[in-house]
Amino acid sequence: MADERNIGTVLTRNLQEEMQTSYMEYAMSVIISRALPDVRDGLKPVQRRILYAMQRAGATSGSRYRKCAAFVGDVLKLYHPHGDTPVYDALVRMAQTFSLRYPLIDGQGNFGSVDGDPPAAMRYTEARLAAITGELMADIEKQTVDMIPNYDGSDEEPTVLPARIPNLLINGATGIAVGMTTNIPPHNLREIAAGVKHLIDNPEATGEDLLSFVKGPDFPTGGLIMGTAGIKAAYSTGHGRIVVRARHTFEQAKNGRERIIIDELPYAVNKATLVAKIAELTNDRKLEGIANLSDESDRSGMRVVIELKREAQVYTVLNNLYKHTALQQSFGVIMLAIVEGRPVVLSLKQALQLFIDHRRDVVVRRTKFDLDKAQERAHILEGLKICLDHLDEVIKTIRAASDTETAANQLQTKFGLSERQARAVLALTLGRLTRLERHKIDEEYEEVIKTIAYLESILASDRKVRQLIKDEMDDVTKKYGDDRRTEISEQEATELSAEDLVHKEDVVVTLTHRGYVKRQPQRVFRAQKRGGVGLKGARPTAGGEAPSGTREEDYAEHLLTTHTHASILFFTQSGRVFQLRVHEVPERERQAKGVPINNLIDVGGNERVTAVFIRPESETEAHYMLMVTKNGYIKKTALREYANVRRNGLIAINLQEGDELDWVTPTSGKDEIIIATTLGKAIRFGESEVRAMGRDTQGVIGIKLGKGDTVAGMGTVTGEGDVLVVTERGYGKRTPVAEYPMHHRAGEEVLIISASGMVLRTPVGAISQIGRQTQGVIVMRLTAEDPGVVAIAPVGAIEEGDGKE
Amino acid sequence: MGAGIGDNFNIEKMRYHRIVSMTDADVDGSHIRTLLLTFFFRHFPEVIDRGYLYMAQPPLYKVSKGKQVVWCRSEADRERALKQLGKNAEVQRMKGLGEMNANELWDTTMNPETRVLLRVQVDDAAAANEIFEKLMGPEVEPRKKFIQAHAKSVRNLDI
Repeated sequence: MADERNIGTVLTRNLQEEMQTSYMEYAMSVIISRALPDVRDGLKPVQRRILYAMQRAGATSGSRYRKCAAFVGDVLKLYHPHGDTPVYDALVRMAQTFSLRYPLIDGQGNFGSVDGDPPAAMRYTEARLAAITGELMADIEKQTVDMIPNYDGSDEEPTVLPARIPNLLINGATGIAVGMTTNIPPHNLREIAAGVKHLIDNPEATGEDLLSFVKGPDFPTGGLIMGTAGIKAAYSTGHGRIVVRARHTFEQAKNGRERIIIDELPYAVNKATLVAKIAELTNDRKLEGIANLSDESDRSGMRVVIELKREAQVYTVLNNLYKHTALQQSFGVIMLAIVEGRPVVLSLKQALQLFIDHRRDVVVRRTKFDLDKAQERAHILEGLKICLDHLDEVIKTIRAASDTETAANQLQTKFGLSERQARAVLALTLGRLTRLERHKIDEEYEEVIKTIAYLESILASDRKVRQLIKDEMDDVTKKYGDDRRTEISEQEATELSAEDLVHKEDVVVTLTHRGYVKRQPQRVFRAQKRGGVGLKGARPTAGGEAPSGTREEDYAEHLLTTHTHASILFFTQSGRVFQLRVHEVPERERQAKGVPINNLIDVGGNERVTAVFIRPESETEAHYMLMVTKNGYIKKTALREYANVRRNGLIAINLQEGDELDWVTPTSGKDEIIIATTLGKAIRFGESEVRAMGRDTQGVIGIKLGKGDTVAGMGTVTGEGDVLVVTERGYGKRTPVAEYPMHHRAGEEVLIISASGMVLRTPVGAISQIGRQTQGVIVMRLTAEDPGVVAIAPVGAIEEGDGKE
Repeated sequence: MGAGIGDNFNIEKMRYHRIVSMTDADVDGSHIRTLLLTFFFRHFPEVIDRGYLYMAQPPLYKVSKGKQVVWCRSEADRERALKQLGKNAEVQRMKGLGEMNANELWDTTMNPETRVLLRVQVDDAAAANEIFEKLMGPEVEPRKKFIQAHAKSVRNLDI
């Protein structure tokens, strides 16, 4: 094994030490001078070098565009001895309007897209600095920042830019170092500037105070931030999770299908990938309800169209899209930046404060620089003034001198000039020297002295420095400030419920005898005067044309006035209960027949819906559900027992053989109940007499029926208000409950639906209050073949103006 | 290397008794070196145990004045060279092997007469294993802690 040959000097190196040293050199280099931005100017070294190289090359905002390849070459040559590709990539990113909130480079040509299309090669694209980048560079020539030798000592580069704009926060940063990463979201310049100003005036301001100025991230791509908890966490601790959603609108396609139009995406989401993902999930049946997907984006804007299947629920589809695709993304904030050569996780306040400290530093250094210049000028002007006092002698002295050196010495000794003054005088041509005008010199001198006083006053007063920083903040805000693009929703990113997406609208839901259900906006029913014929509802047609209206011999049996956010409970004669959201009932034209109820809920073939009502929205409205069966059983169950009724149903009451559940009503616990029978008997009692039971019970006897008798109807009364009774022939009457309480209570208006499907909405007041032994007045004129009124329902106090139409 | 890998590895079949890693003399070179060392430590520990693994030492600086050139492997070397060549000497920080001509590479790094090789040696196998686990393992947190603990000890930073 031992080698005979000379292999040169061999030293040993401990593996562990070598690993540690080499790894740490690499890690710290990446952390400090590669992947993380400086807190002061928000730039990583490569970015700073690109901007500085472009500035040095004169590619400022007013200049013409020049080839990116040239800038990349400059950067490699002068400052950044690394690969050209990363340099060009960094340059491109700074020009992308979807990557930077305030792009620092103004690009000409193809700089890539939100679809992840690559930019054109650097030999094609051109660039110059954006106007706002001038603010990053402002005053750099006034020794405001430290310069260090470049990698080969041939030039100098700035360690940081003067940064009149809070670039770290407005443009954000992302970077993966070693063992740590940074992810700072972009912000709105106006908000950050307001935060900066507030913190200058109130150094003790809390994070909470700052939140009233800085509302949250503001992404170049817009979108919607869900909730403020993540923002608060991020700003107070430097870590937080912010959920961002795409922004969408809804459209109705010509074919009647609902469309979701996406026009803004969460930050840094690749649209092409997203669309492909949605398509893939749809094809794999992981996303249901999507009929069609197309990306109609073009140069004018983004437009991704998701067309839904007819039966799909918009909110379900959106929920699934949020859950499974980048339509919802969480932005993990890590406010990590380099502070004095160390990586530090910062709170918002710290980040703002460090920016302010940097600005103070820059303003002071700039003022000192200007002061030096002014003092130098004052000194020269003083020299010139002395020369003017002795102009002829001065000229003579200069002429007499054999060379410049002698002349300078002579001027110094004869007139008491300093060397700098002497040289300044000598730099003037004879012509200019003789033409020097005293008053001009005096004027300039006075001006310079004033400037000096002003500059000295700044240096003497931190208050003035602070004011300057604020003024400059105002200045950049005025020039570059713009409106926020990302909306911040107070609502956290919980799953969407129907209420979030379904427009709350007053609607009428009808269910026909044969089980066809539909909903219509309440506004389609204009209030008509008493005696109006009503509008055509679902009209039974002659045999064969059934699909266009209510089926032959079908008639509307249940009528509910409600709104789209409510829930409907359906009870069947076999004692089961089902629940549907009102918006889940398909909206149909007034004259359409609706959809079979068994398409929406799991009713069996022999099951018939016998009672339908709107689920009370709170327990203050109703505590119980009261059920009455054909054979006179009554049962009361607490409403909360029905909290989780689904489309597939639950048992509401256990029925004896041959019995049917025909009536259900919500009650308060203090109502009175009236049960009437087909043979004309009636009973009235307080509901407190009926003990509340669980769902899966059969209840108690409510009325003892004689032979052949069955329950004909039931109602609850509260003892106040009027009762409206409408007969099958369209007669109606209103009677105070106290006098003869029975059946439905009336609201301000009632909707009346006849067996032949005519619908009438009329104010209750139009029906005169009459005694109970009367026939009543005609509320709705029925055509001869109309079998009669089958349902009435109160209309809430809505659209009062309608009553006058 | 002719010795196979994994279960089939047989150190006796090694065709070479000197495996020399030669990476750029900058921090990225350091990184690559750590990756190569990890590769050998994990898959060919015997290569290290037997002392077959070496690291070449390319120069860090080229100090030149006119035709005089001095290659330096450390800061101290550079200071010495600067004194030797006097004022106006040019210093070039050597960052990549590609900066050198073939003959320069031979002179500085490969020629047995002039080069210095470092033989990789494991003094404490357990400690070595631990550091590989920390620096190259799947867990980020220990790595972060390690970096924070040793941040101050870094001397050669690439700025």
